Amino acid sequence: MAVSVDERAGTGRGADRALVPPRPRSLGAWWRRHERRLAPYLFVAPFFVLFAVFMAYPVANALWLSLHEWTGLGAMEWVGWDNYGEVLRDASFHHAAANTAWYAAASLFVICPLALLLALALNSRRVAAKDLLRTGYFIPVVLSPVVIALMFTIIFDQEFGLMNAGLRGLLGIRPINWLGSPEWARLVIIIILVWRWTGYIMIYFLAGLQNIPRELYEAAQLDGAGSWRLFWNITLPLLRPVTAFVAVVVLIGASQIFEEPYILTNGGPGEATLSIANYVQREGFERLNFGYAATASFILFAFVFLVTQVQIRFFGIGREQEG
Amino acid sequence: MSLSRRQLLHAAGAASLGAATTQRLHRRSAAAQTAGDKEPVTIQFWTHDQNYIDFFTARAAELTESPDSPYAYELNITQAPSADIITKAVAAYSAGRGIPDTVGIEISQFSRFMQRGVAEQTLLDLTDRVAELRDQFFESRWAPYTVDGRVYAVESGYPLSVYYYRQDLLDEYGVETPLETWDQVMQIGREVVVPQGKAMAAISTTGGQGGGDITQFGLLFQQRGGTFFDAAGNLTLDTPEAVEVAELLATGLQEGTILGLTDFYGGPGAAAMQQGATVGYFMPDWFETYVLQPTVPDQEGLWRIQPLPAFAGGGSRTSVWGGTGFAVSRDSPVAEATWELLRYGYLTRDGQIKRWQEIKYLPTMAEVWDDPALTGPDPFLGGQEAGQVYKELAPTAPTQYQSPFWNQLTVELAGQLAELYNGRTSPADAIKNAAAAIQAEMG
Repeated sequence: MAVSVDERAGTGRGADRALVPPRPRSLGAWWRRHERRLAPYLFVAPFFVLFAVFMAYPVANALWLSLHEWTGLGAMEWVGWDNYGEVLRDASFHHAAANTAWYAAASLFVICPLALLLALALNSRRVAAKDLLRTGYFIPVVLSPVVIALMFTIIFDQEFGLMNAGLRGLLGIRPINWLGSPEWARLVIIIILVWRWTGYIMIYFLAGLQNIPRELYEAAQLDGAGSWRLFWNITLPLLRPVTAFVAVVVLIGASQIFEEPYILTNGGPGEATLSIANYVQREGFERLNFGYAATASFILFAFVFLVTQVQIRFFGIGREQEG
Repeated sequence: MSLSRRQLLHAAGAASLGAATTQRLHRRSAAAQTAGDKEPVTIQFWTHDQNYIDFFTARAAELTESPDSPYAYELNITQAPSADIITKAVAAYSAGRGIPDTVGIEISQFSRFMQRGVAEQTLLDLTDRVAELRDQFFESRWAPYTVDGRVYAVESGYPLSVYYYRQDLLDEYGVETPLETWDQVMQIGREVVVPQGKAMAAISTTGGQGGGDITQFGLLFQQRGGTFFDAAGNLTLDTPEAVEVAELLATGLQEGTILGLTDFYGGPGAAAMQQGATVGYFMPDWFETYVLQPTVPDQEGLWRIQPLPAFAGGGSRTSVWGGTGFAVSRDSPVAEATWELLRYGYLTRDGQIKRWQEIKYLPTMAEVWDDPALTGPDPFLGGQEAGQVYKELAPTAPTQYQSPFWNQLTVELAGQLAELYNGRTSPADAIKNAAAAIQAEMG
């Protein structure tokens, strides 16, 4: 138990304690005595204060909320872990989880390789107008989601869309119901993801490529290495830290995908494009099941955490430093 | 006796306050005030529709000028899409601050207020306030905003549905109007209109709450005599009427007599309208002012309306779809002034007529339908007396009952309708599966 200086001073002195006048102290003197010990904590305090207020408290509160039923108004009703069982049995959550897995897989296995290819192309000495191309690839990231929704709705409309017009004109294919058919709608979402995020991921790879010393390539070329061997034996191994970072970030981002399905299909048709984040939003704000929505969020967190751990082991993140 | 400056100021202030209070009491009792003397009231007015902003701004100005009202109104407008404005309102109610004084709740959003006492905790119970007036209005428009027998919002219009058609195109193809039955519509479509590369009607296949859109299905289902939920909140979807409507739409889409649009209100919908891809639409009254006029102003005079073609098996010649109920927040500091504005705008004969004249939303007050103001020619409809068409339909419109499970209904039904429209399931299975899924969620 902590004991104050005053209490310690008073111990054993009995009634005399009241007669001893308190030692005059100023804040300045106190600070001078403790400055060396406290200063470092004050320097790091802003982060911890902000973290506690804007991260730790909301997360703890959401965890508490996930153990209740609550419409957002009035008293919360304690349901314990029931919400977790119900969410895990909910067919809609299963649909959302499956769709989210599709989006995550597409992000990892389509966007990342494409981004790497683009980065390799832009890193090549033979490509001109690199700045223009880089800007062009990056533009989708900064475009408003509303503009994206409008644009892709028009492109993929069954009757009046550019895509069907092109397919009909070039290949004579009958109009495809891109946004009204579950499989096609899911594919359209993945196309948007690829279009929107490939340029962004490319920037990371490009930065990684530009950090690989040219001398390594020159030395390998003197030893007779071809393009494929250069890529396989120099580029890929030296890009490993960037690849690991990108893989983790992309997986986390794809698991939380919300905007693309929301603006284009609103999760439909039915629940064919519903992501877990859409599901959380729907349960929380449209159906006012805030406890249930918080539960789904924590299940998503647990899933992403586990997969990220697998990724970290796969890429050996942190092992170099330990070695 | 000597007074300090401070005492003098306090005394003067108290005298002014007393005089002002006396004056206010006098004003209220005398009910004869000028705008300068009135109690200033700023109302936080939330809505998704510019028409309501225009309408209530005009009514607020009238009340401010009126000697019968004690309030000088100012509206502080917040405008956002219909679902977003309710999400924002729910967040504000949950936080207990920044709440709207009045909020326009689009009918499909009202189900959010039906969840476990939300309406009771957030909205002013209007049941007693409308009790004396209630009989003067079509009862079917109180039902959508009623929870456990208590009324929480006042309807903004009577969304009667009709068949809109291009008179010029049908004349060109030699089709005589009005079209009497849906069988006739489909036959003319197959034999006359589809060969011209056009459809008889267009429906929205995606884009709603569940990523699909049940608007046209719901509209025809209610016309045929069905309801999604009954007055007690039980699901009543799985019926022969629902199967019949699903079959009509699926057949129409397959044959091309009905055009499926992925974005009915967006670019593709506008393109269909501008290119004349369909000769008609079956939609509610607001379709004219909200969609047709702004999208194809150059087609003024070419359109006409008629009652919905009849189903051979029965039902009405009209339906309802849409609507917005205006509610007053229970904890609004200016609830009385807000209610006064709402009452003046929506629950008086003059207000109902002005609403029709200014923003073309049909009256919900029965006696107003006899007013000559409703029977004028509509230039966009080639001078047709639209009010006369609606007047004959008004008493026969079906009632739309609400449920806290409206979102579940939309999601599940939209998913099954998408399967049906893609030819992957039969009408009967689509309805059966949707009903089973919704019922499972309802518990």
